[in-house]
Amino acid sequence: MNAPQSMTMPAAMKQKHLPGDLAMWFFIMAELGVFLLLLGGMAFARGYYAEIFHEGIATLHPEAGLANTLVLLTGSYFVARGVHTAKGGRNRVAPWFVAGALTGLVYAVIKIAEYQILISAGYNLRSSTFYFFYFFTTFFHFAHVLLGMVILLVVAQRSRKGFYADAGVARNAAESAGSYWHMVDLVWLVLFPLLYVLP
Amino acid sequence: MEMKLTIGWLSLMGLTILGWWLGHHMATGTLLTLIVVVLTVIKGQWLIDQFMELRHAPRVFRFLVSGWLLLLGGAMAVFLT
Repeated sequence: MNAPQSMTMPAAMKQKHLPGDLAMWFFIMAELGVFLLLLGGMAFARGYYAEIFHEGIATLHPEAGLANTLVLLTGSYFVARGVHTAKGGRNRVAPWFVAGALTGLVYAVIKIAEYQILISAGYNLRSSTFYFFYFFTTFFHFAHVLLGMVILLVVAQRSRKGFYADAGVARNAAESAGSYWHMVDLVWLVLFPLLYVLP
Repeated sequence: MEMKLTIGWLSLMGLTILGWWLGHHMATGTLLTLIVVVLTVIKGQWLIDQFMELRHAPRVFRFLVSGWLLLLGGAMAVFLT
């Protein structure tokens, strides 16, 4: 009687699992589609208007870009650890997600400081093709970081208050929030070399 | 698993600092661009597989997100070299 059960175990373990809700993944794919146009457009424009981009990039702050990349990667690590606890049934999601949201806050402070320096120096969306792409794309990404922070904090709070009916629902919520946050980090990983690494 | 995430996170940080340092110390040109693009794709794919956990997701999701990364890596390699 036990034989079929033991035979199905490896199959069950190998079963494909989508991390989070399918609706969240439709949303993530739509977001990636928009970012594909923006980042692809930026790469194209950078090649086409090489001199304008070269001059514009020289006015940015490479250390700020590096710091923000390290901060977002650390945030993704915290969030991945939180999701991992949800899978183990220990449900220690809240502290990890709050830590992840705090890295978003650090990112926001650094980004706003860079915007302030550039705007004080007289640069804006209309200054050149470079500044259009810089402000438009990074601000659009910035808005996604803010939304990611809200999602993480809502799931953290609900998780802490025992809002979720069972461990499966709690895990699904944690994975949905985590997937969104990692998407935001992935987009930044591509923005980073376009603005802060290649001179 | 926790150890794997920690090692991966530290590796991502290390590769980020390496790429950034090369970008500011190496002579600009095709080689630098390609190195930076390859580092970006490696980092992105690790994030997709381990942090996003798409390695064990239905194949179409990993295909789409990795395809997104490769398209942009390809665009950078083509337009910036």
